[in-house]
Amino acid sequence: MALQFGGEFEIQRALEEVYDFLSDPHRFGPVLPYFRGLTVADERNFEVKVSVGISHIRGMADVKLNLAEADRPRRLAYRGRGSLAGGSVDFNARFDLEPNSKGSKVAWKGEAQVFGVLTSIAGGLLQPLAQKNAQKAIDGLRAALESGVGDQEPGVSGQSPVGSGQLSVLGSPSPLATQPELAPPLAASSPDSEGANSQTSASAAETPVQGSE
Amino acid sequence: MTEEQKTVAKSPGSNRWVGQSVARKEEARLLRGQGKFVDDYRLQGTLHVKFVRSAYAHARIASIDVEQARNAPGVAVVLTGAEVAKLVQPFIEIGPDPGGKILDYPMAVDKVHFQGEPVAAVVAESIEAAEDAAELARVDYESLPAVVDAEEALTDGSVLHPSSGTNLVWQGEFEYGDVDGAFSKAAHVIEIDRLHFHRFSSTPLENNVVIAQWDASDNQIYFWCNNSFPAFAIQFLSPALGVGIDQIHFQSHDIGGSFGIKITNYPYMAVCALASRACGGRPVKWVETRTEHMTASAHGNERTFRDTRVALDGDGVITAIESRHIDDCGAYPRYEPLGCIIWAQVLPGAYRVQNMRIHFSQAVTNKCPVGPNRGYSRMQHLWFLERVIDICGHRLGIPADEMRLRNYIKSSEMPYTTPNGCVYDSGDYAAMQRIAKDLIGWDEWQSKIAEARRQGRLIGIGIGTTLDSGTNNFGQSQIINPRAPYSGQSEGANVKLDIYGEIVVSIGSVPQGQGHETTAAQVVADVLNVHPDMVKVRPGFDTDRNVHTGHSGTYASQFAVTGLSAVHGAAAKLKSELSRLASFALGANEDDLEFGVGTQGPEVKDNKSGKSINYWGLANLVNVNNAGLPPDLDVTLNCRYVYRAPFKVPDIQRKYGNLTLTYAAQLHIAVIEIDRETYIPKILGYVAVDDCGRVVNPAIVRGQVFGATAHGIGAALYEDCRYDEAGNLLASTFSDYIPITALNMPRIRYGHLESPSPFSYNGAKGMGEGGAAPVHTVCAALQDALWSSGVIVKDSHNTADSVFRALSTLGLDRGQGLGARD
Amino acid sequence: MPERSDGVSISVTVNGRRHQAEIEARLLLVDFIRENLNLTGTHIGCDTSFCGACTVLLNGSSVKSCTVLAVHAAGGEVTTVEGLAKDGELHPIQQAFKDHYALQCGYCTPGLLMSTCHLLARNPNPTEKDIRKAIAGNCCRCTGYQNIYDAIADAAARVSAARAAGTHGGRAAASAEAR
Repeated sequence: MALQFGGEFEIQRALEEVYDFLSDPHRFGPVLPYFRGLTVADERNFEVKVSVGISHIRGMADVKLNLAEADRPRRLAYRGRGSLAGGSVDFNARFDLEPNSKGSKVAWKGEAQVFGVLTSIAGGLLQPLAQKNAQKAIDGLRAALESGVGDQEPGVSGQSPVGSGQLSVLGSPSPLATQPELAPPLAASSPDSEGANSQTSASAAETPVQGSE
Repeated sequence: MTEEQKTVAKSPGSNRWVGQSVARKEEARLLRGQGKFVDDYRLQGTLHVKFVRSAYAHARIASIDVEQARNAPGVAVVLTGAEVAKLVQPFIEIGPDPGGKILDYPMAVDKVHFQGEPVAAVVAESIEAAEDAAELARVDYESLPAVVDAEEALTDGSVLHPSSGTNLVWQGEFEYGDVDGAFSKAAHVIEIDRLHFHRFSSTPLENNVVIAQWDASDNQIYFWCNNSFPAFAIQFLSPALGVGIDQIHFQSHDIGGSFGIKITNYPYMAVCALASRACGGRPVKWVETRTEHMTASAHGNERTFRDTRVALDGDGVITAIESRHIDDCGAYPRYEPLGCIIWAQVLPGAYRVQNMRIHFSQAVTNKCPVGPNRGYSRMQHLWFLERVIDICGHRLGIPADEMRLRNYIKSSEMPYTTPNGCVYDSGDYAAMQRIAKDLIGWDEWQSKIAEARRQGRLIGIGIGTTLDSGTNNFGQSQIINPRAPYSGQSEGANVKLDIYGEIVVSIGSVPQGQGHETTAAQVVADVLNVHPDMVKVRPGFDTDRNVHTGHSGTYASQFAVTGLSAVHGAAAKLKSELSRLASFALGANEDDLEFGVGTQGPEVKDNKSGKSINYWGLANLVNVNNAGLPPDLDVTLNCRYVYRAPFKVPDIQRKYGNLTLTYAAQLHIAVIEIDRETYIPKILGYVAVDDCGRVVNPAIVRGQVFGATAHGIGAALYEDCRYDEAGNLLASTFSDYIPITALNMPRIRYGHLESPSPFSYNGAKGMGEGGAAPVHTVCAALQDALWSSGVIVKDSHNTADSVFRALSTLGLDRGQGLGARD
Repeated sequence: MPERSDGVSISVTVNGRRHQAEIEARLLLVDFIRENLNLTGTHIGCDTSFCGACTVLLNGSSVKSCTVLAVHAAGGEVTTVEGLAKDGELHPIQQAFKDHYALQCGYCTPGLLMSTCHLLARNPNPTEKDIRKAIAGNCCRCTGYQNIYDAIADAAARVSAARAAGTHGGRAAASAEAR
């Protein structure tokens, strides 16, 4: 079952800032809706854990991401596969960046192929859901960018610089891991309640945090 | 003993019970919820299996990591497809190359070929623990292009099985008579580009269930399983698992329907057996879920008919048919490619056409493997012929009933040899049509329909003629594969007196609701002149009863012929032994002996002296009190008999020979209206007429006809195993598939004819499958309603949606005057 | 056997017998009936509440026991097919099914019998339309429903007669009779 989604938005940020944000999973990962954890294998390959579903009926999905095209600052493209009980989604997502008078214009576009019993049960719902969820994710990314989370230096959020062969793990917040003195004062401006994770997970970098399932 | 039972002794003759609607023995336990279905068995130490299955229709398995699953709480063992492949030989392939080269293992090894194919088995102390652990399995797939259309599959753009290198399973040409000559002389030639018979399943209410126990200490494997053709399954399992067939014990008691779908569950049996061995011989149980059943058990064949050309004479009699048939057998052939020949049992259908050229090919696709679903391979072909008849009749302006009458084989020609050497034993299709028309009120409906059409309503009446060929000759497998070591047909039965004289019957059949215990008792009761209540029939199937043959199972519409002939043969053998024994015991001539029931139960009486000996006494003489029996009185009162159908191996070169012993027939008529607002087809009237030769139990026969009618109406209007272009099954739950319910199953009027078969001892014909008459009939009625709109019904499955689309394409959507455009 | 964790204690009367059990909160009623009580007459045929093979009576009303948690039956009365016959004598509904050949493989039958109990306890004289609606949630793959329609119509008459005569089965919801 083939699905398409896409759109565009404008943002008052320079191309490079937008590009750097979108290509760093430590920054955009926590902003994703229902984000639960991140594992980085190398600078191009990551795995994100998200909770997916419809309303209350949710399950955990492991989403493998590969940064297939990295053409700073104009274009990035991801290939991904999400696995969850009952199905699998193969997708790709592209971002084309163009400068404009205010900053940048981002055109995003993606395709997904869904496999599994999901297509039987929710088949008719998948296309509108795909667009809706993609839009929600984009809105979250954009809001985070605008509010300056993207200003963070790479590495603040991770225990170690994202480098090839090094594994860094980001988990969703554990109350014990919150260390207010390190928390950037930006969390409050995050529009999405899930986005609050970005603050605490950033501060949780000091101690490895177990992602909750 | 009841009064009724006592009076049996007085009535002579042996036809008191066969032919009666004797109450079923099975009800005693089934009505009380005391049936023993496989999931009802409770064995000590049972482990439970959950399969990890592919979400992809076609993919390479890049990696499979089950370590976390292995270490999960309660897990006893996890087996991957690759591990299983090392423990078994691949399953036998029935067909020749290229299909014969396909490697079929119990689970996927390095590739998956259909959505739902199992890749690993997690075995745990509870099903919950197994399910939780199964979710921990990490499988990495590299998706490959899926083929979901058989014609596309044949282009080999994306090949499923590298071992065979092609998606073609088998192809062959069937040519009889003088096809080209007939076309050159034809008064009319009509061409039909494409017809399509869809994929559906009988979906028995009970899913597949396997319990396997492999005791490594004595290397015996025990199966409790609802497979309905166990002789076939054990022949596949024995070489695969590397044990002798005698080491495999198979048992079933009650089965919640099968309709052919449970014949190919042996891969699951193999996995459960291997899991049991890996767990020290503990029983391993697999209970299939409905979703697993819809996705990965078996579906019926899907078939496409291309480039059909029909030659007709000036009277509308078909003189030749030429066509290309492409069969879709799903990801693995398994019981196929028998489907490549079995349709030829009804090559010309009920029609007298002499010249036929059919090119038949079968392809694998990335869909659920196919099994011999009720109506197997014949119904697709018979539907094709009915569409040809209707399309040609309409084109020539000949009404549908008349068109059929002009083309039917006449009853006076029976037994009738078809162009490919099949012998139709008996039948009167014209008479069946008369009965059906009478029951539906054909003439009345003609005027009602005409009036309704004047009002702009879409309404039609259609006829479906079908044959239910029964008792098949496995020699037809040699037409597909000259090396196939199969031919003929058989069934076994045992009738004995137990130590206290109880009459006990065991049969090699595997009933799933067909009432075998009851009809077998009727037959034995007639042979011995006792009451059926005095005949105990062992329920279900058990290899340890040693009564089965290599053909044993329940399939192919044959029990009334094969099973009952075996029972009759065994009972006759027993009677002959009883006669000799009684003659000795009573000092009487065998000619003076009479079998019946006396004051002390079933007995044999010497009419000359009036002395009698009851079954207890006779059994006693043979079993525990045998001193004094003359040495040449060699009787055991334990009589096994194997019925062999009178077949020869067909002529493989000419593809000619008798492929089935009996030909039951059904003729249905339906009146359907398509709602102008919603396009929902509604059945306004329905009649089913059947002819299955001499009827053993009328109530059971009627029940089978009703059941087959429900399956067929369901398939025609509701049930469709449809896939999207990526190979996702879109109807994987009952809520999506919609098996027919009381809300949409209409009342059927039933009619009946008896044309006895000259080829069975009792004149009966097998009849369970039914030939899918409703699919033909519903399509015919819909077509009749749609002629005026210019829509040709080309698919066996039609819904409000498809009708709407067809009409919209022609610019004839609602509100626009369809009216009188005949 | 399912792993027992710290569970919920329930007491439930099934076919007139009281049972005390410690069960997991997530245990389905159908699994409680089949596995804990070993009453295997109630069957499972699907996984989306469609087929009705699992139909039982809970406090006199038919429910699909695959979609009810066992804890919901706590303190209540459950009637399964095993509770219909009395002292070996078939319930009039069962007898009607037998006389009309309303079963073949028997897998859907227990569910149908219980749905019929539910119907006849509320509507002693159902029309065929009433009957079809009452069994719309019971799927049968063998019989084509024809004989089932007849059996239920006949069952209605027999139940009424039994009621008038005060014999077994006069009150179609057998749970009421068990008291």
